[in-house]
Amino acid sequence: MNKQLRSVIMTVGSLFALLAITCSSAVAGSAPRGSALAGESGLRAAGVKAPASACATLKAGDVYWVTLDDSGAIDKAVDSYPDGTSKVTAAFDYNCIPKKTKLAIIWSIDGEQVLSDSDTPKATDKANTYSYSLYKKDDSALENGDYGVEFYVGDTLLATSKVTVGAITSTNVTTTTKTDQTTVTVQGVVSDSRSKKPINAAVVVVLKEGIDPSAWLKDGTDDDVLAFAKTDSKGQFELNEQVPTNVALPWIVGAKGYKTIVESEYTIEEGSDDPYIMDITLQRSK
Amino acid sequence: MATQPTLTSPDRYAKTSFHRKSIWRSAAIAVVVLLVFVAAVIALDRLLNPQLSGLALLGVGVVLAVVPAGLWLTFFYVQDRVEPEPVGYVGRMFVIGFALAGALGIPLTNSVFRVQDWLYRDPLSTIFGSLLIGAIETFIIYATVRYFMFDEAEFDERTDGVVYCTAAALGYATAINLQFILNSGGSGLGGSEVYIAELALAYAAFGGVIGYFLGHAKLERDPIWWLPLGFLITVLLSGLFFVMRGQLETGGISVGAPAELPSIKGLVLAGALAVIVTAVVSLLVNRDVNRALSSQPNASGGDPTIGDRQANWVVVALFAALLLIGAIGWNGVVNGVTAFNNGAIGGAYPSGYGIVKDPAAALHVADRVGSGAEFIVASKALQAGQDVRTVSSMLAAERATAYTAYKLIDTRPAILNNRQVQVQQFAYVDAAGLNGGVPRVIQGADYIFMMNNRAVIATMLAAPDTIGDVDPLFTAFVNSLTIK
Repeated sequence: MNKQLRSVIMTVGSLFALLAITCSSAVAGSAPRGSALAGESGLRAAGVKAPASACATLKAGDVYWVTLDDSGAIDKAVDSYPDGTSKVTAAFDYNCIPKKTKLAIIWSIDGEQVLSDSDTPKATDKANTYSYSLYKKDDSALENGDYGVEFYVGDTLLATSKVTVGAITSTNVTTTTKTDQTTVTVQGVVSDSRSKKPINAAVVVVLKEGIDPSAWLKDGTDDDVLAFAKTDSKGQFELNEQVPTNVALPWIVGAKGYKTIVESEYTIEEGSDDPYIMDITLQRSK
Repeated sequence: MATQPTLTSPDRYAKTSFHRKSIWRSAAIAVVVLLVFVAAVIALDRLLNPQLSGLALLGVGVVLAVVPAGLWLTFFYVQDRVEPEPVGYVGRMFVIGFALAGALGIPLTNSVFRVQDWLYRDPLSTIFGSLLIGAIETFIIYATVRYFMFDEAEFDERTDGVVYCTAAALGYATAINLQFILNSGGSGLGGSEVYIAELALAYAAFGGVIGYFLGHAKLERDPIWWLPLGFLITVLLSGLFFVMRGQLETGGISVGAPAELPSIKGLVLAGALAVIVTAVVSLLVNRDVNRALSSQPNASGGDPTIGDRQANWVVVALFAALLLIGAIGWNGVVNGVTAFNNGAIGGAYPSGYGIVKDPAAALHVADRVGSGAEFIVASKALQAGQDVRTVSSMLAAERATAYTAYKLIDTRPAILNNRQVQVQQFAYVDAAGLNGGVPRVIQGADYIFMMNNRAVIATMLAAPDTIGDVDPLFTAFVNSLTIK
């Protein structure tokens, strides 16, 4: 028994040692994650980095918009920015930052992407606030419009928000604050439940209330569809129509080679964040 | 394949097996160690968050794919301490199982029958698909041992079938796992390892079942139905496992950040299956050994391997029958059609496709949650002097302004159902998607017919990586069109 136990312990020990050695060497020699991002449109951006770590996962709160004081510290939160604003700053509170976390930040004006950048904030196991500003190189006024920001960790959308500069559009302020809205914009990422790899060309369908999703899958028509989206190569999607809150609606999420999720009744609670960010995982069929 | 007996009656029957009373306990320990290993991988993955590519990915992929199989096999081998099988033979079964999986099993299930694309389409397709997967995988495990080990002198104990089949099954699982981890690009190693361990345990269980029947067949004079029964039980067990796993592991929708820990329901199911199968097989083997030791050896004349050979042919026939049943089911699911009749135009489109609201089309259907392919039938009034070639040119001109990077790939006349048609192939870029996503290339084809003073245009739109699957369906669709 002792001999057997020894051989078992040695075998298991060897396997763990082999695994640890392989993982360590792989980590040491691997390339950093995320694509190289570059500034565009004469705009520059600067990150205010938070202050290393036993942290496992970065969790972000809602994005809010702020102004900065002369020292570059956060002055106050705002709902929108006036005409002539030269800098907009998006901030979110986080729990901690794991080592080697690489953030990708994407800015858009009126839906058109104007800047992509990456940032590797210092690891910390303390909660703090992360902020990122957008401004022109010559510090001149920013154009009026709807400004959007998206923060990603790897391929995963961490947080996103929009804000208006100047009083020009219908949606004066679209922030992640909770309101009594009756519809929400739905965004998210569809990924493999095991490998977490984003799934390209996955389909997200929200059907009208009362439609049987299983029957629709067999012989459904577009008349029954309330909102629809197909994921891009990053697994990201945004439904083409806003989705009402507090209504139980049938949802279908599917992709080639994956088991289709059929939710007969999925309700987005009233007062949910807008945009409503979803993380959807699909199980491989086989 | 050589079928020369290496043990002859009555020696063959005098040879019995040693009791292995604690094999089930060993199995339980193995499962626990495997769970600990998986937990360690998840912890390491979260701690180090490795981003792998190239050789590093291959190295880690091999280690992560082989370790669960190696761990399980090691415990079985340690149990076989009284008269252990030669490591070389066990390794040979593993390697052959691995090779046959890569050369036959995986290509058959994934590329020929493409089971992953239709397995869960409806309850009937789930049954057919599970039978098909189970039959292919079980036959390869069975064939590995039956044709490469069964007639060897070292195969001389009842549990040898279990050991060798388990090795072959783990080779099969390792091939699937290696492919999975390499395809996933090294992302989510923790979650991937749960899946890898799950498959290793499940396949070890399948190997254990068919191995018991093979071991029994080698040591006993069994009726001709014995091996086919074992084969069928293993196929059904395999199918049942995949159906149950499909019910447990469904994916999910969550709000905000993704779940931090991977689901282990499938792993728990596979672990329970492995322990139960090992315990039952252990009990059956010990019962058989006791019976053999307490009774006179069967010294009746004749070549005892004749029965084995006959039973083997029945297994082959059974496998062929299951393959045929699976193929019929596959054909019904994949090539099933729904008829339509829209006044002047009728035909049949693939049954998995749904109708798209499109006032401009006589019919517009799409494979919404599958390939995403679309089939559209529209008609266009012709003016004097216009023919199918004119329509073809007009379509190309319209699309060139409507789509990004529209390109006509080929246009040519053809004959279809005794009608002259103009066939043109094209491609364009669909920029849809959020920031960060790569725009998609859409590939298409038109079949343009003349009908009185109108042109009927049947169009296919599909992603280039699915065009090979979609094109035969579209050809069948176009062939089905009837124009009054």
